[in-house]
Amino acid sequence: MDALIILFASGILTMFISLLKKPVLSLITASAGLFIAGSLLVLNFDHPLNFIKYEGLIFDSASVLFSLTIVVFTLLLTLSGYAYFSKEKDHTGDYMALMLFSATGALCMVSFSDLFMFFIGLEILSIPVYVLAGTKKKDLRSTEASIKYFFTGAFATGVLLFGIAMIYGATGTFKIAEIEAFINTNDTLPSFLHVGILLMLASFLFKVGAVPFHFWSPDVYEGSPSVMTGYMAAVVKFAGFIAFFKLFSVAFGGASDYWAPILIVVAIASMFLGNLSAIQQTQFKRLIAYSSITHVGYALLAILSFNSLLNVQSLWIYLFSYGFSIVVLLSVSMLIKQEDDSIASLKGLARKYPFIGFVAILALLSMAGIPPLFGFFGKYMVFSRAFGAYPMLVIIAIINSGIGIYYYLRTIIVMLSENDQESMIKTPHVLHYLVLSICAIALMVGGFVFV
Amino acid sequence: MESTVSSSADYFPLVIQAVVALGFVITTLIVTHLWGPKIKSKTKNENWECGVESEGNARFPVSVRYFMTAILFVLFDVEVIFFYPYAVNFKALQLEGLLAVILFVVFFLIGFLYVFKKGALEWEK
Repeated sequence: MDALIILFASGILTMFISLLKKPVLSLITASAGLFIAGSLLVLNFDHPLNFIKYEGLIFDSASVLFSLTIVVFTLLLTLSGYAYFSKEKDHTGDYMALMLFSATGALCMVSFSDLFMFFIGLEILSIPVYVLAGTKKKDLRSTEASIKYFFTGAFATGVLLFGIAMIYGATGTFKIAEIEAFINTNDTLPSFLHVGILLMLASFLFKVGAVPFHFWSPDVYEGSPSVMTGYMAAVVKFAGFIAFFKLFSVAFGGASDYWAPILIVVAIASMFLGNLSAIQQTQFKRLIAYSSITHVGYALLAILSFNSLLNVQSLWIYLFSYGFSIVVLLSVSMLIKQEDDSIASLKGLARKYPFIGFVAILALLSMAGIPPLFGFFGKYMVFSRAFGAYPMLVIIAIINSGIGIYYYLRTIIVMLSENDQESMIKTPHVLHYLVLSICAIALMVGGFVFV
Repeated sequence: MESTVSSSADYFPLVIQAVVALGFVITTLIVTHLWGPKIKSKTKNENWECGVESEGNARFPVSVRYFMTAILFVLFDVEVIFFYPYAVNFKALQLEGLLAVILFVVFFLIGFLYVFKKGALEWEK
């Protein structure tokens, strides 16, 4: 809870410091706020009861871990996005402040204990992201991304709210624990509960970008500035999935016969559609968007096989490793000079900047799930936990992993090949090196430290 | 638990309401088409048939200044609206309520200060 307050306060401070029009000061305030919040979370990790308690928020050790993950990713993205943010001196601090506010919402979303707080957290998370998607003001695609994300997102929020209302109507409570008790004690569940679950499921699948509701994500990912694409893929998706897990495994766990078949279809469709579309992409960020749809399909396996508490750990490890890869790849994407970030413009990256090329290749291999890297451990844990209940689904997921390796390797080949034309890569900022080194270490040793 | 569980029968009035609402719209739409006289002329098909004659294209850039002021007005107007329920319960809420409201106002003042410093209220720029 104090981390929440620190994040919010440093957001306000950054907002005011941005009035001085000195980007460095904004960076220092924002990253100091994130760093302090992170350290507080680490300090309170072993005795979470010291946190201030509020009715709608519970900071148990799992929530503290998730909050820490969010803070880490936000910090990394703030640092690597500095070069982009500081192009507009008037607004550098504003952008960072919005990111901090959004992270505050994400913290609410991983630690809520009633649907009310969850909804407020979701809104605090989403609204700054709608704004930040359109920060390339003169770029039409960025504006398109912002508007598209806003309209579809607002619509999904409406559906979610309708679902919450239905569930309240059926159970008479907003609290997660009471909804769980209601579902477990009543033999015949009211039909309105089913409608509510269905509506919430649709809205959640939209927020994480799973297949029937994925249409927004390639356009939004492509149009938004790379920092925000990274933020959406790493932090927003993380918070969405944790909330998804918390609601559907804890609150609606007793009604899983009802929603599990839907999720199975969605997971299979996400994996295939994401992969088969990703193969055809020529744009780097669109490739990441489609591959992230595939990764949503894998992560849904963890929600399907929710029956043990260990699953939240496997989901966390999976999303944590995925987040590091995303931070690396989007930091690399920030270095592309061209407005349309085609994969071809990454040509010669590994030859011109060997270190950056190396980390980018690590990230791609980790996403593909090559053994010693962090991503492998995430995938392994999710698949092995799901294997008992859904063997066929896991086999399909493994086939899809195989398909995925094709386009990851193709991108790696582009990075490694010799560039005979004028290079499209900008000179990296020193902060890029810092972020990429941290991510490289995490990707290499993460699997051995966290599993 | 009996009081919290509602059977489907309790929602029957809702169904009636939905049917009436939808039925009214559909009936009106169909009936007006069937019974209404159909007169077509150039003036009749204008966008604003009884108003000033339209001129030029409606899609031209509009200054956002007024929009900014309007949005900020809505924001601070809503703040004032929150005072009404507080004023009614002023005695019941005691000191704790006062502190909560002061915190709320402080957040708004911070926002106002930011808006002011950012120059969003300067009409001539």
